[in-house]
Amino acid sequence: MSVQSFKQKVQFGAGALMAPTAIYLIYYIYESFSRFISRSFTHPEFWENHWMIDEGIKLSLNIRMMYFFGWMPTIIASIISILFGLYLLNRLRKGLFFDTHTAWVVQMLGGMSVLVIILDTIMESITAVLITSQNADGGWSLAYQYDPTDIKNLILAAVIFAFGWMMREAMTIDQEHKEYV
Amino acid sequence: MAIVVRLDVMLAKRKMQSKELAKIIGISEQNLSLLKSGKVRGVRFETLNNICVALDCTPADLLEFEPDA
Repeated sequence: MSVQSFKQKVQFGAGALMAPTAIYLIYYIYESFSRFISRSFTHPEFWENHWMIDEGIKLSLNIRMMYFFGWMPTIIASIISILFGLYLLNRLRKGLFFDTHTAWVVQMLGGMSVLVIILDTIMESITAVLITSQNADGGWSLAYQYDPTDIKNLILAAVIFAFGWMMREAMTIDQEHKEYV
Repeated sequence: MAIVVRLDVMLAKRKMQSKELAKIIGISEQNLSLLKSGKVRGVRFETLNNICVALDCTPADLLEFEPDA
């Protein structure tokens, strides 16, 4: 396979992936906001059947607001990471492969994914404490909820971050090398 | 920059054209022009050696230190 043919295939593949990624971004924004708004404000009765909460307890508005605003950084970080993914695909579609800015986007994509996984893990634990705080026996204590999938995703995201960093350093060295006659 | 490239002076002394020197030392005319104008970050020892051989001079004839005012 020639370099030109390989480049064209990557450009085509990146372009083809942009549409489903954009659709997923719209779906993600709609789904996550409607879920959190519904549970926090419009349909608080959702919590009445939750297995962690004692029967007959209605979560106060304060707790539901803390739940809503507590999850917002995770949702926003997720949206930003998907946007970085879209931006990266667009750069690849344009054929900008070996470029320090593209490498920076790869690094940011990995970094934002790491942040999302960390925030998600923290908020899972905090949510358990928050929603059980009105239970008769008192709220649950803060505890790390072990999830092997999260650890796998965290490692993958860290690898993407490191790969982007490595690419950027390599390109900077290459650029510096080219400036020597 | 305190280092000044005097390549154009040496080329004039040896009555050699940039094009000819670029061909002898094996770099592009564009890069030689950048080197002459001092618009490069650095020069390789290999390039410096080739220029010295081609122009029969020393690095001191090509580079000069002029402290910034």
